[in-house]
Amino acid sequence: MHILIIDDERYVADTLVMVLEQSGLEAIAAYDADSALKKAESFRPTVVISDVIMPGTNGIEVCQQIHARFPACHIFLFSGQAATNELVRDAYAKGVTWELLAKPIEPEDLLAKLAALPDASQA
Amino acid sequence: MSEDFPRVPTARNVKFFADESRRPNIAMRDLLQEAPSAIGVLFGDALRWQFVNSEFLRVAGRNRAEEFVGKTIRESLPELEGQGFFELLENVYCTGNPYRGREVKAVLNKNGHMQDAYFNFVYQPLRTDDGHVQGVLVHAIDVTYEVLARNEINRRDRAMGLLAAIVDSSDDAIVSKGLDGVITSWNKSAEVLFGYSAEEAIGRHITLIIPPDRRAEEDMIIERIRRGQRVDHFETVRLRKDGSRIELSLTISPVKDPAGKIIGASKVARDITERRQAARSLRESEERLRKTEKLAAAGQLAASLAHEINNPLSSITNALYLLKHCPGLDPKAQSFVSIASTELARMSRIVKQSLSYYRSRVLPKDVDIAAAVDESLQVFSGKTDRAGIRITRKISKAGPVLGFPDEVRQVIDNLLLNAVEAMPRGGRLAICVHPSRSWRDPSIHGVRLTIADSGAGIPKGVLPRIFEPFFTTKPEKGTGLGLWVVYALLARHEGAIRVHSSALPGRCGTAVSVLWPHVFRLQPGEVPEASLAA
Repeated sequence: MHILIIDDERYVADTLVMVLEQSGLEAIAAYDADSALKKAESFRPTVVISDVIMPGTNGIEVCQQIHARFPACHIFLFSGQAATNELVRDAYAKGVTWELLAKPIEPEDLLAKLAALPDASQA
Repeated sequence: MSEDFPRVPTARNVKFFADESRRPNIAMRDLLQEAPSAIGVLFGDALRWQFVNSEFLRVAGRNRAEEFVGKTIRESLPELEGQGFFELLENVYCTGNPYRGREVKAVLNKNGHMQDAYFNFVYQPLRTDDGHVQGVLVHAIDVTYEVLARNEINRRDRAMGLLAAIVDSSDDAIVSKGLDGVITSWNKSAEVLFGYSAEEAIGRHITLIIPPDRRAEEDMIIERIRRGQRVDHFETVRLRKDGSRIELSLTISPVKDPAGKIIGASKVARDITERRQAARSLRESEERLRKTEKLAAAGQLAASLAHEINNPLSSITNALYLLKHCPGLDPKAQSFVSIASTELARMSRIVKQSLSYYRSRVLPKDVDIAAAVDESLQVFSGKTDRAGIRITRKISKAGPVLGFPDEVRQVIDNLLLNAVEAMPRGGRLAICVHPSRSWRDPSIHGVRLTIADSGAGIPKGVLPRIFEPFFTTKPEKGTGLGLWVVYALLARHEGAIRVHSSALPGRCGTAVSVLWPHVFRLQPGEVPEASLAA
């Protein structure tokens, strides 16, 4: 399982990568949309966990581009802000179906979610 | 009465007067002199006064008989020229037909002043035995006072009638009463306003329309009226016949008799129920607007705070997780990490409770309120045990409600927390769950949760503000967001909340009742779960 974490909050992205690595998963962090797209090309993620509100290109747009490139990739949106966030509402209204995770998420809960993914066993 | 004195100088005994030697002698003159009516005798074609009595002098405004005796009517009473009297007298003398006048007006010169006088009179021809008219007897009764008094009465009656018509057609209810409080008049508007007809109201005591809790006002009003003071625009409440209450503005004035003595009071009552209600609804809408603005501002603040706080919380959560799994961490350090994790979890929960509007599920699902209550009680069991709170549960079978489980749980948590914190030194906590209907719309079925505590209660003045954001009665530990969030979450579920509270010593406590409808409409943007399945 290749997990790409996208968050402009470096501590959030880095600690999450470490948590995942400690559980034997392969994870890398990207702190903005451009580097996320670049890293995705070489890393070929099976799971993307992306923050929604970021400077420049927002998380939803990044994920849409990654999804177009890697259709089998599982995408989670990750937000510290409520569902009142217009970006998320709009995206869902336009048919986006990715699960939205609430920050902070307990590492145990996240690991359980990842383990439950259909292709987790192939990782 | 002597034999040689005629009873009255009538036509029958005119011969008596015609005879010079038997003209009224002293005794007769004296008698006529003191008669209570004006009497005068005219003789001859020239119609000269032969006799006038003292009453005649008085009503004519003259002083001495010499001003008449021997003089013609025109010489003696020149001011009557043009008033028709001379012609009438001449007519009576010529035709021999008597003339009677009733309340005829004469303008007389009384000591230099022209004055109106009214008379009932008769001009009676005086004939000789052979029927010749020799003179005219003038016999007049001064009815000036009677006529003027009656005119005044008529004028007053007309004025009163006009006044009565004005009173009756007034839009204001006008009521009068005596100093004993007995109703003496009741206009048409009063009939409409209070529901009693004039027949029903007049004669009854004014307390007929005064609510029992406002009887003291009547004493105050009567007291002021007795002192001759008005009561202006006194806003109060009165009773209708059907028992309903109306808000009125009263103006009460003393009523005086012609001598100026206060004999009662008149009340003008204006229905201000509508005005009051308009003012109230204006106040309420301003209040609501203020609340909404505050809510919006607080909502924005909460959203940005949530974002700012949840990011560092994420990092710390992860870091603690990593620390916990660090190899070689000694047991003491492990226990510190454990404390930090527990407290961090608590912090996350608080942020979620108060600041985050986050919905982990996009579609609502069936929620069992009773089960959610039990879960929350479990969470708070430490607190309730420590405070020594006795809990009674009364759970009736109620179907599930459609809801967002986290939000339902948050509502229950916040309400339970308030109840528990109201009883730091113990008390009773009663929880009741049962099927019910909406207060506003009985067609809406749902589940009602009531949480009642025996705590300090909410002071009356504070009650209207408890749903405002950042309003708290617990400045040391409250955020002032608990009930605000409850309110917002319930609104999203189309639910309702009611709070009853008493801070009276001996029977203090608070009961919060919440109704969750079984179903509610989805907000735009709340996407059915089916479309989420990737």
